[in-house]
Amino acid sequence: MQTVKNERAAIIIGSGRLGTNLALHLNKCGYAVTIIDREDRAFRKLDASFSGFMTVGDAANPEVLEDAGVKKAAYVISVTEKDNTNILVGLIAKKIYNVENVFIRLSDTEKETLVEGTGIKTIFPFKLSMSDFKAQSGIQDTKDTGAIL
Amino acid sequence: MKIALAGGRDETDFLIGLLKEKKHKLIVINENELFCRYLSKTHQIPVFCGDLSKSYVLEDAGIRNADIFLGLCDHDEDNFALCIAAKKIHRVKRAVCVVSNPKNVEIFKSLGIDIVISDMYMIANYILSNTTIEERLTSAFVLSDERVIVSELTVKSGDPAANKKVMNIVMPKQTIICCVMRGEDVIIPNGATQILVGDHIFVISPTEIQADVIAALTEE
Repeated sequence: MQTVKNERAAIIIGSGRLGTNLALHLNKCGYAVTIIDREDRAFRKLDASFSGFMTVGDAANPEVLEDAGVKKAAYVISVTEKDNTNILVGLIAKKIYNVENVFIRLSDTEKETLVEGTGIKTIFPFKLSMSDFKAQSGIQDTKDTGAIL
Repeated sequence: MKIALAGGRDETDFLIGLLKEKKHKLIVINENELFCRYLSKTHQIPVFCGDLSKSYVLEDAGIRNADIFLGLCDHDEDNFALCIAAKKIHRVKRAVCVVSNPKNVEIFKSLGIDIVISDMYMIANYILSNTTIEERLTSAFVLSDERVIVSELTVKSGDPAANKKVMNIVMPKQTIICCVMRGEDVIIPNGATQILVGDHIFVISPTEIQADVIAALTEE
């Protein structure tokens, strides 16, 4: 039996700068957002405009994810400080709960191989910084293959 | 065997001592320099000191194609990532993930980790196997994700099994008496083996029929 997914439901794990801003952004775009963090003081960054849910808990625990509505969510975005936590949460969301859109933040580009072939989408702050620098400075390598070290 | 130990403290120290005796080739990687020096000095083996989150550290330490890789760090998610990397990237044959949260045993297994060990999980299994309302059960242990159970029964006079040959004992289907302990002797029985009063018999069966097995073999 297929669980009906809510196309506009998103769960964000990690309420740091990125997580908070993602939550506010998705909320403004009309998504039902639940944000999970291990500590409740992380939520102070969310301003009064946020109309989603905040949960304190360990997102690597399926019970916490289920309470946050992972069975129906169309998006799970794990952006904690720790790559390993994001990888674990991402794999739980993808492989156990079959969430369609799973995004994780990774600082270490080498860790991408750990989620290769799973359909999990990766965000590398480092890659984005490189793009930003290239765009701002105008220093482009015309033979740039985009290869990452 | 080539065995890699990543992270950990007391448990790593203990394991190295144990495994060295069996002449295994050990690769020990740890992040704490002082502890690395201690291990190296105590066990007289080379120890790699490096950041376990870096793939090149594992590569340089030589874990490639190891027979067993053990993730012994403090945090379950770190051991999880290490084990996935060890298998996917470094092609170890078996990755063993130690976890402190027993709930992670099932989760990590369903995410592809071969072997996940939690001491609390093992304790729970032991308790479940050995606390049934069956008074006649001497001990029991489960195998294979709790689908198979080995039950130990002590044969008393009057039991249906007493003084009978194994082939004449009426037992539920899917049951075998796999071992008989008689005093100091270990007997792996065949159909002609006669069971005597006082024997400790080990019966293997699917877990769900254990009660039927005990009922069939003990005094009605």
